[in-house]
Amino acid sequence: MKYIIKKIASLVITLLIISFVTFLAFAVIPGDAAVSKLGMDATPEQVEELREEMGLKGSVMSRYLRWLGNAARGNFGKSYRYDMPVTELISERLGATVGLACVSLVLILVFSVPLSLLSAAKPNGAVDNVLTILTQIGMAIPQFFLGIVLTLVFGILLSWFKTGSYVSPSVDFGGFLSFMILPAISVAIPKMSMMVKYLRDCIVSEKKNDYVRTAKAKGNGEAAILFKHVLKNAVISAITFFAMITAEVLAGSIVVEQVFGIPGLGRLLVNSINNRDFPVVNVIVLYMAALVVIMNTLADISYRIVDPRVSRAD
Amino acid sequence: MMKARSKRSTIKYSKSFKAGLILVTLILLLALVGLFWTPYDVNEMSFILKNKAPSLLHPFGTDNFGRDILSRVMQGASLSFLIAVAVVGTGTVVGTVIGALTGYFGGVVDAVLMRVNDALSAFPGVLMALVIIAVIGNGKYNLILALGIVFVPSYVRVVRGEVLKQKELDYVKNMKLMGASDLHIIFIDILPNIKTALTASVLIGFQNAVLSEAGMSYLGLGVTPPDPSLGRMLSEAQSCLIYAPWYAVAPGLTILFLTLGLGFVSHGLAER
Amino acid sequence: MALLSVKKLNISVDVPGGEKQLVRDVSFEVGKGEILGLVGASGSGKSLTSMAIAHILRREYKVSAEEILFDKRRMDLMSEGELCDIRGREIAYVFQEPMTSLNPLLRIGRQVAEPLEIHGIKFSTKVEKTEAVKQALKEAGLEPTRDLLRAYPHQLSGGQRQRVMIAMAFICNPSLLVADEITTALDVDTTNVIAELLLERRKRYGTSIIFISHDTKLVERVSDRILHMKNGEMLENHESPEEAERELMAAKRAEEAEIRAMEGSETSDEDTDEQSASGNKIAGRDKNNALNAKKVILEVKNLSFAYSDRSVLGKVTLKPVLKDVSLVLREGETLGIVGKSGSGKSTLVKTICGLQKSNEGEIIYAPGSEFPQMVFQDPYSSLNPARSVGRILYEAVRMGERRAAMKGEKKRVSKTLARQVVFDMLKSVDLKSEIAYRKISELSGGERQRVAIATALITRPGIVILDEPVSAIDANVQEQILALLKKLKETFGCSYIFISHDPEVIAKICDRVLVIEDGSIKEKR
Repeated sequence: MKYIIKKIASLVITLLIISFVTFLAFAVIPGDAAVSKLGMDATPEQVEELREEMGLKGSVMSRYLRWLGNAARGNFGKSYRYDMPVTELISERLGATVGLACVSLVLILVFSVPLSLLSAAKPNGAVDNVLTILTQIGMAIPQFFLGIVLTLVFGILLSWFKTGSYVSPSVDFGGFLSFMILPAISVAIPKMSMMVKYLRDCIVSEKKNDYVRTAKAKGNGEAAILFKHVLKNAVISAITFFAMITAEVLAGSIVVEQVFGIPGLGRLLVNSINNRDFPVVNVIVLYMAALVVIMNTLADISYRIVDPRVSRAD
Repeated sequence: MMKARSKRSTIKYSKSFKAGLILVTLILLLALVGLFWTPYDVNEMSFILKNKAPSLLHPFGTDNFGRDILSRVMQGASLSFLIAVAVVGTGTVVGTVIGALTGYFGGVVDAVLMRVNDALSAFPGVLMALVIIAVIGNGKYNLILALGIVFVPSYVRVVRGEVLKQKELDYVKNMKLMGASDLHIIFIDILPNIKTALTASVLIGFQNAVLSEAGMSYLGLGVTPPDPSLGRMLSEAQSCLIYAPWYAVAPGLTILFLTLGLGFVSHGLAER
Repeated sequence: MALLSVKKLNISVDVPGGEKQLVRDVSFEVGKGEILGLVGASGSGKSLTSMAIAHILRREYKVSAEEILFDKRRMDLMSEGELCDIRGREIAYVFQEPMTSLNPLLRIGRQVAEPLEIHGIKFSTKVEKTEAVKQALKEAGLEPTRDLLRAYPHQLSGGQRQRVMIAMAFICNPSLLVADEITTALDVDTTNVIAELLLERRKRYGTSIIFISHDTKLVERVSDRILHMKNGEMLENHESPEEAERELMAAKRAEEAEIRAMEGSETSDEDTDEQSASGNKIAGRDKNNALNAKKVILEVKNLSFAYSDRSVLGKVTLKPVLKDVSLVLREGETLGIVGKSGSGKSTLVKTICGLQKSNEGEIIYAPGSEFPQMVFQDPYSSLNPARSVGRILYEAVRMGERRAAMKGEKKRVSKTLARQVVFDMLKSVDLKSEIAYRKISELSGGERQRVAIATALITRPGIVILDEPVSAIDANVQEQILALLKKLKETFGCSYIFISHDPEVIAKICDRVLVIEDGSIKEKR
């Protein structure tokens, strides 16, 4: 328990550092946001007024503290461009990103474990070699090229799946799935390839351990050794890796959202960068970095729970 | 001073390594030629030649402005290469110096830098590069700077870890006894011994750099016109996918062959 | 009729460019209720042989045999499924590594019960099954509490884990047990208890045991019959016993020496009287007297060292490693320092050569001996693996010039001259000049240590510290290296500080011996 509290404390500190750094980065950008919003022929009074309203007055530190204070109350500021609260803007887009992430994660989980078992069953055998080549291709292919190829083949030539406009799952769940399947495959294939490679290597090296010899000497068959002994140990060593992948998938694939025209956070981020809409950029960046930190913390905590060797005493 | 032994033990390279090397060389040749010569001017537009399918004159067809795709791919590939080399170069040099010094000397500076390194690593994928681009604006030099900064932490971690291991070995103590200075030990004695780990991360880094550059350019946050870029070509190809599907083939496969080749090479080296 | 009979067993493994034969034409039998001892050095193939019986070797090992007959069945012709039925039920194994041989994620109770589940041994109630597990643990000498059943392997000591392994091996009451170096990782007391346990088991259940060890004394005590293996072949008892005998004696001696070093100073006095020829000792004393007249080149005065240990609570405690150590080293002598691991001897030499600062005390070097050089235990890690031998030695020459420059003496020899020095040095340590172009990884252990010695001596330092220089080297090469060291001392006119845990080696080379224990010098010989 004490451990978890300690972990959460360090998580909060890391998040504060990250938020300060990103805030600082956008605060030092040359150019006056108020001027660029009002145009060149605004009177100095108007600019002053707007700066006051946009929270651009005072030193960086005092502005950061004010921002932090508001953020703690759930107020992350207003978008320069859309004239609406950042939180509202983001929550509108979050659904699409999380929806894509969920479908992708399901694909990754369903395929990577069996494939890595298959690959590790006979290291350097025919199956392993074919899968190794496939995972290499999966890791090498640019996601947007994969997306384009998938759209072309399954969307346009074969018309198996819907392409075009995004459907919210609450409106039409079938339509949502049909739309999401190609983007999800584009997201999943590179991550899945990494997972398969990593897990396969874990299983292969785990199989060389002495306890596997013991298990064999007891009379366990090949499959029993794999499922009763090796797999759990291998999965434990892959926890952190899987946490990282989950974080990256949840953060959303900026590129894939762009390819398939999904109205998610990634597209919002790119548009906001192009429009220099920094309050929005700031919060999205914070959200994505927070995911990584949170998933890492969860991975650390879950080690404590599943691995008896990591002491639970403190 | 001593010459390398003429009768060196022959190192066996795996099939994966060889296949990767062939792929990388292929694209490298294309890019090298593209630096000096292309069949057509890369920015020569022609309304008549708009969106033509592959032919003898234009083996990969023409794009929506009637420009020759092969020529643009050749120059795009060389730009990809140059950017990747610059990015990995920056990452490796800066990362190695920081990682080696902090790993060897340790202390407060090491502790603080590792914290910063951890915080920087919290940004997934190209997000960090996006933030930097958002601050400094796009363009190929800014892209090199942005990706270079993003790549530094991973090299710091690799080199620092290796140096930590090496500095405990007796040969380092032996060098100290002989009176070698710390810098001599770090850069002349230890560095050659971590080249295996460094080579592996340089290769993976190269693959990542090519993918990141293409991704950023696809998003319009990387290489800007008039420079041809594989990533942006794909983004243009996507908009005319229905009536000119061949446009995507050449730039897509060029990136894929390059990254796949790099992947095979590093896989082959790790396996050996 | 024998329970197990193995005829012409061969094991090989694929290596780049061919096949490596690891076990050749090994044949032996084990009778019912017999304890067969299998002795041999590491790498002799005894473990491979034992694992081949129930075919539990990894896939890369290729096993073939004319016949492996176990309980009237041909093991070598069985399918994997049939073998699985026999493993753990009729033939059980216990291995050397108790720390890693148990699955770290499963509770002890679960793991001990696993053979019962695999072999379909049914119990009417769960309680009965738990009782069987408890019984097995009890027979292996463990108190079968609920805590133990619920414990994970990492919570047990090495001895306890090995007992768990034994309980697991015996739970199905096998007719043959293969005990592969099962006491090697354990201390003497636990070893004895475990040996008793095996004997007891045989007495009560008539279990046959193959007892594998390199510890000949123990094997003699436990076994009914002993077979020796060497380089993958079985040395037939009646054929070449002399060689085996001789080797065994050598091994035994080395082992006794080790034990003596471990036991420390209390017994070492009598031991020296008993073991080393008394004449030798007197000669040594005479030499001592002669040496006393010689110039002191190193004086260590009241040296103390402690490192701070920060506990989890952040409290800093000082842990003393060296306590008030004083010693002198005279010109041309070899000073031996003996001590157990952890006695502080490595810290002492590190402090002497300046790799570590002391907290208190003084180290005074005579002019010309300011920079002691060192030969480390493991030549592989003490020489830069990225460089050729020639380059290493050349660098040593240049570093020597740097040190001289620090003292204000400026001399820098030409490249040709430096090269000549390198080749001369190689000759002095009896290495061919072509070795200069090789890397450390391409040399044998003996060659590596010669290079390490050359590196230390090439700048003609006054003091050379030899830290266990021969303990990582094969016995026959040891002698050569010791002879070389003696010769070099004469030609180079330096003094040695020789550190070892092996009194026999110390006796061969040292003029004077200090025994260090718990960070202070206990005795001078």
